[in-house]
Amino acid sequence: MIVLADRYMYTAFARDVVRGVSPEWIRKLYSFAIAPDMAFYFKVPIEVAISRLLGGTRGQLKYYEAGMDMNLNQDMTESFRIFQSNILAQYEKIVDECQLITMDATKDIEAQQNEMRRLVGEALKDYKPRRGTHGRRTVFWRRFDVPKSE
Amino acid sequence: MVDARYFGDGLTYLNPNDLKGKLIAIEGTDGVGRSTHIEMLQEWLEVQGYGVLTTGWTRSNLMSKTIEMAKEGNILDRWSFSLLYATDFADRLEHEIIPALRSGFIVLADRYIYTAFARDFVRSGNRQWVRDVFGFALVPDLVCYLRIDVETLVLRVIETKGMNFWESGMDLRLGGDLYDSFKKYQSLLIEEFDKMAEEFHFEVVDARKSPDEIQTELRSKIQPLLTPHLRTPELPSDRTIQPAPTS
Repeated sequence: MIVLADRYMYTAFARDVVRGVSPEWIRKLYSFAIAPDMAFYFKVPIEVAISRLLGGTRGQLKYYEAGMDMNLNQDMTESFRIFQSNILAQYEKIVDECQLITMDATKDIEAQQNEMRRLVGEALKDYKPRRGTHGRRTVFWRRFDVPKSE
Repeated sequence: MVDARYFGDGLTYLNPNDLKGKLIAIEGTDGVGRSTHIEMLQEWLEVQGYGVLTTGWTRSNLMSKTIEMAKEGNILDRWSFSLLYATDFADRLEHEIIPALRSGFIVLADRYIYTAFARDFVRSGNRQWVRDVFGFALVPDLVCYLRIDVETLVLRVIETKGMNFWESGMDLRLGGDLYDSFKKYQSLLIEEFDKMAEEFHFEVVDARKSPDEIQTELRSKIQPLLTPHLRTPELPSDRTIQPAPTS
């Protein structure tokens, strides 16, 4: 099967290091993770991120994504700018270290999606699709409920 | 803590040398009487004027309920098992242990990272990963290991609270029933604790002795750590408050 993961260990490599965790430690912690066959990094300049979050359907920033727990600035947008800029700097290191594919996320969605499909299609050239249920979707794995933290 | 240090990769924002208190870990398998002895130690220390904080495995505000829930599901695998406990420990370290040590308290830890090391090793056969994970832990000033043999432990547990799924390591399928599994699982843990006792220089206390003898032995191990500056300061007699002069 094909697994699509929305964020992966690289998120922790970037965020947790900005929060003061040792870069070596966080990599050892996640050493049990399976290295993905492909990993994409959608890159946007900080100002684009801010204007999208403030101008889009959400219209506001979240407490932790603005790094408000770190006392960087009383103003949430300013705190977001500082915190996320540090995260972007970490991602730049991770892109090289972990061979992430950088996508220009300032382009429109269709252009990005076409580019992704081209890259994924190439990677799946020799992949034989397999299905167990002839298209009927069933619950594969049911786990106990854990209260949502976010 | 004199020459305080982290076990591995520590917290980059905290210098452990700023911690004035003492950290004492009490280790040992299930049913050796850790909580009873810790309660007695706390009273003994408090009566002498020391500030004491007791902290116990899985008792963090953040994680205790989640761990209970996960255990009820009976489908914890190695990684989620160890990471839940590591998260619980991290929460207690930052919110209980470090603040208490910073204010000069004696911290009594009911189980410490060595419990996680033993349990993870028994499940994975690998020692390194879990030790790396707990790199941010402070190395205790003293680790007392209440050691018991599995035969005595079995009798004691059956006589008191009985065996449960996780204490029997039923997730490991070591034996056909709770009893067999308990014996095999606890033997493996004791074996690993014995190895760590040498590696990390635990003070080993024979948990088959009477509670009084054990308590006396524990106190004698702790005594050398107690320095006068840990006690609640007393005002010198010439500085006691005088009644306000009447005019």
